[in-house]
Parts: sequence; structure tokens; C-alpha cells
Amino acid sequence: MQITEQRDRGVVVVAPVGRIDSTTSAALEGHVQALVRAGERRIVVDFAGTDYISSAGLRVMLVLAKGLRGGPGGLVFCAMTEPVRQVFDLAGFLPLFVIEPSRDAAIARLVGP
Amino acid sequence: MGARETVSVSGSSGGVRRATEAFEHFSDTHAVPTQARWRFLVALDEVLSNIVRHGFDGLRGTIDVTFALDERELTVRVEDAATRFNPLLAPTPDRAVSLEERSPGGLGIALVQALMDGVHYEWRDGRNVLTLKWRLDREGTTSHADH
Repeated sequence: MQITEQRDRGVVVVAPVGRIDSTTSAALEGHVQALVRAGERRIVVDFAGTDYISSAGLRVMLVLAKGLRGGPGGLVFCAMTEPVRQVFDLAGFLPLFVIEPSRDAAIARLVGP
Repeated sequence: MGARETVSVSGSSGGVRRATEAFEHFSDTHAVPTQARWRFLVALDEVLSNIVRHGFDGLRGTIDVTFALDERELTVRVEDAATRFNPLLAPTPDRAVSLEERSPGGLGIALVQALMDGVHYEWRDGRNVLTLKWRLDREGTTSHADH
């Protein structure tokens, strides 16, 4: 897995490329937790390049969402591939998160129109 | 169409990676349909990482993973001589809808059961044997099934 990061209108967009599983999730967790520690409060995770995600990755997303709760901003997911969307669905995670089809829509959700 | 292959990997994160790579190679060679492929890749990660984390109590051990494919289904069998443990008896995660109430405990094996058509555990000759099955006839579009 590779992680790319871009900043757009005060939102950090993190894009994990490849697989998010038990062997790669620690790197992703380190990456997003560093953002939270640095004071980032508006985060988009773009799954367009993610082959699949296992529960190790779901845990990272749960912890990240909890870390961003209670303040301004928030966490939005976008561009989920079919395997990613189905794993979120099967785990019962879809209702827990804000999910947009595109990166633009996800950023707009956090900064307003 | 029928194929069968067994790989033995160490009970470590490197072993998990080797087993998933072997499955990808098997899938490429035998034209396993896309959906079956990612479902097993996720399930294998859950099952194997669970054995690595809890099964060996810090000791070294190996895990045998067998892939078996026929026209109707793909079966993956995972065998280890680690601590006896039936993952299907582990508590299932709560389904509370709010984020705060949600805990990730037990998530992995619940996900495996949701991903597969069948998951079966057996303690056989001092070994844990977990069998995962996914039906292929619902997809019907492998390169072999067309003719």
C-alpha cells in the first residue's frame, strides 16, 4: 500500500493505494493519527485506488472517526471501490460514516458549497 | 476445471503475506472471478492474522493453506497446530448504530462469515481446521464456464 496526501481548501485528502489489511494498516494508522495530532480536523479518505480493506483497516477508520468527533470538521469517505463498499456494508459500517461518490463532493461536504 | 494447491507458511505477518500472494497467483492461474478473489483475500487476512496474533503463544508454527477450485465453488482450508480455538464461537460484535458505542471486537470473524457462503471449523488430529467456501455458479462468467 502507498499513501498519497493532498490538501484542498483546508481539507486533507488521504488516498491509500493498494490493499489495506493486517500487514499494511499500521502504516495507515500512523499516517492519519499524525494528521490528527498535528491538528487537522477536516479529513477525506479517498478509496479510489484501494483494492480491498479488511477489518484491520476498518478499525483504523473507526479510531480516526472517534478522534475527530466533538470538534469542528469531520471525516468523509469517497470513491469507494466495490470491494471496499461491500466490506463496509457487510461489517455494518455504512451507517456510521459520511460517504460521497467523488472527492469533490467529499471536500464540499466539509467546507460547504 | 479443477485445481488444488497447498502452501505452508510461517505463523507470522510475513507468512500471512506469503499466503495471500500464493492465493493471488492461484487466482491468476485459474481465472478465479473478481468477486471470489477479493472476498477470499479479505477472509484470508482475517483468519491468518487472527492465528498469528493469538494461536501460537509466542511459539513458532506453520499454517497450511489449501486452495481447491471446481466449477461450482472455491474452497480454502486453513490448518494449524496452534492452540485449539474455534473462532466461530467468539462473541460477535455489537451492532449499535452510533459510532461511540461501536467497538471493533470480534469484527474479523463476523466479517469472514458475512463474506463467505460457508465457514466450518473442526478440531481434527490435534489441529485447527477452518474451511471457507464461496459458490461460483452465481457469477457464471469465468473464462472456462463460457463454453
